Amino acid sequence: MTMKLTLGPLLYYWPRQQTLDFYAAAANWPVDVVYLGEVVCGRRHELRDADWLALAEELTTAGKEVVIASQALLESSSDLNGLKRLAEKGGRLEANDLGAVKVARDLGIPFVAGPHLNIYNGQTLDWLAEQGAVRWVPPLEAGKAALAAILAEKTCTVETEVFAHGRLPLAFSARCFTARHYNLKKDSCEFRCLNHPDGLPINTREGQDFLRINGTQTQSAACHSLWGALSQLQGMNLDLLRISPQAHYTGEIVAAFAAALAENTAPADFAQWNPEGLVNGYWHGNAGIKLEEETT
Amino acid sequence: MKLPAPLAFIARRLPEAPPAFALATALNFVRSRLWPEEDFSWLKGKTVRLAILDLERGATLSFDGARFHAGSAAADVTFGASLEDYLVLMHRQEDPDTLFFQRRLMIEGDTEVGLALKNLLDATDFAPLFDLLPTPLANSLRAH
Amino acid sequence: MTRLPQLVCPAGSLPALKAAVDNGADTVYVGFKNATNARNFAGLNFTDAQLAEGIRYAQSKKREVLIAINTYAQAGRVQEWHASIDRAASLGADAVILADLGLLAYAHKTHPDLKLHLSVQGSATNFEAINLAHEAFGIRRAVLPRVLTLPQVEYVINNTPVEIETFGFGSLCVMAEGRCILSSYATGQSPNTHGVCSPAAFVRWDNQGKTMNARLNGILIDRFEDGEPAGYPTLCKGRFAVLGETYYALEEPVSLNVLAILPELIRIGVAAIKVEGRQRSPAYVAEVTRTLRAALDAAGNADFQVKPQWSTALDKVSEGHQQTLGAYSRPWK
Repeated sequence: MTMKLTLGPLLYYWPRQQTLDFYAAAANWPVDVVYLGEVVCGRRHELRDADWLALAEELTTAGKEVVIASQALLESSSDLNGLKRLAEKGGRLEANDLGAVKVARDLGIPFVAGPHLNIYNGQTLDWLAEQGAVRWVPPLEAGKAALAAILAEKTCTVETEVFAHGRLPLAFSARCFTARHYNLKKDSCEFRCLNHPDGLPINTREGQDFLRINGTQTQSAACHSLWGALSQLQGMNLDLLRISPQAHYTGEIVAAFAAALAENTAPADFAQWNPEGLVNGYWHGNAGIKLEEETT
Repeated sequence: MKLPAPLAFIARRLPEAPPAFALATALNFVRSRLWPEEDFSWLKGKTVRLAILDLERGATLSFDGARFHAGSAAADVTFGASLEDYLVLMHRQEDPDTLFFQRRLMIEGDTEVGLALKNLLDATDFAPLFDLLPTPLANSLRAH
Repeated sequence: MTRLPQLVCPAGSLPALKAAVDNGADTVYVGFKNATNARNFAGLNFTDAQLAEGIRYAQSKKREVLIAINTYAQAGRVQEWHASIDRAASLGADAVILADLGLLAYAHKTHPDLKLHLSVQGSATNFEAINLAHEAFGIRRAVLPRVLTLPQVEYVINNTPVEIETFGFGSLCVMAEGRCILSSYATGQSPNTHGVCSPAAFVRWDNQGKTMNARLNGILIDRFEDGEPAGYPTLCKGRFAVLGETYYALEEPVSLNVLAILPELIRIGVAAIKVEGRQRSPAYVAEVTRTLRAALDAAGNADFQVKPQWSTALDKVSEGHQQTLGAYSRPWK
């Protein structure tokens, strides 16, 4: 069985035209599934609900399965109402919060249990499947052994999608760290995230690349990649691999993964595509920041 | 409590082995009374130094899995504080974390062993110890 | 008269539990000595015998004991978590605090009389999430992550039949609890998987002259100059460089302190106020419990004012010696 590729939700805040251009291009990429919607911050509005729904329609027409992703932190009534509006019209939902699970369940919408739902064992996955989950994304920190153990434990039938390439969304806060950097309040942040299409790097005082600020989200500075582990992934009965959008070269990365999955030679230039460096420690059950040589 | 200057002068020049030996002996003596359920497996083979920074003196102890000994090896973990602050901690007048935040308590080396020791002492009910001490001394400690 | 919220205090040891009860806690929360709870630190927590004695002690004084089993059960080892829930039930805990959905399902089915609380690690920030856990598992109470404003807390309370517990004092998580894996990114161990954040085994303080470097798995989290107050090298409270500017990029080492808004919390109907700090000493537990007890008892009165001696007492035990209203206050965000 060949694994399909998916394009994860856009985690950054890009100007409207850049976002529309990105998805216009993605319509022609070898991905089967595209996740749309705002996961990080309820204040981001370059695209309104109607824009996301219009994109959903275009991408569906282009043959993609479209899933609307929920915010990972649903705090206010407007967060909840916004989600319900999109869910009612948008079809499939990726639930990244238990509240989103409730919304999907009450509407009878099949949903994807997202990477932030903390599914660490088979029972939890079974329970979510009973609520209507048809696919799940393991926690980002779950490595090969943990994933195999969960798959062995579950009794439900669901698709498994692994976060395969992209900077890791490590934490969510009510606080906006981008606004904090500019000494602005979150409520009057002047939408400074627009100036940082790949987030703002955080270095240690010894100059080590460490983390990345993306509004209320904290990411890894480096790009987590299972590129070197593709042959291991293929032996694990997985269904989909997720590529997380970045400001440049996402199309090239998708193409390289697609070629590799089709067992074609895939020229890959990660030094240019991800100059921030690659890590894969999580996959090996270690610190996520580590890079380990793959032994196939 | 600060030692009066002449006493501190003498204390700085005393050898460390006798107090460390006394401390190890005392620990072996009270261990089963104070910590009946603790096997100290996490301390096996470790050497701990309590440095009294203002006296430039201290005691080094090691645990071989069965008994405490006066140690001479390099410490796995070193605590550092003034004599006064050690007494403050013994009397539970201050929380160790508070002293740490204030830079009055220092931990260097194996932090996990250090924190385990700190947590153990925090969790210790010292009442059984008082029963072993001469009454006037026990009463004065209880008063704190 | 308005009902006062319960005062829920931490205990990492039997002396701390007794200190909490003796100083006026209504409820004490504790954990077993294993990876099933989110303060799985060496030398901390309770053996079964200690817990039995602690529960006896508290219940004989009409106080409650809650057992936190609030990490996520790791596949292949789920039995350890089930066994902990079974032990909590047989020890007579007044409730267990759970985060894992599978464990909630297990506890609800296996121990229908055991009261369930949704842990802060369950990341339930909205009433839909809490109501789902209520419908599915019959949870009686939910602990809110420290990310909501006061009006948002009120909005949750007005839309759920579940009791709401909020944090009142202690070290502050700036991230939504249960939604943060910074610790495992640096060390391989996180609150979700190992019940630890920035675990001690990876911490090194190296002193170079009067300067102290705080490292986590070799990564420099902070550097303290002579006399500068220190903090534990929790990742989110380090000083880092962003575009050449070095500062607390995520959060200062501060403590949450809600004394000033206690009347507001009572008015909106918060059922319980929680003190953080199972890893802290009995001295801390005694000091904080005594102070919050006095403040809560006074907070029902119309002329409530924060007494200076309360602030001084809490100030002394605070990490970083700074206190904040955290997310409760809008400007913080």
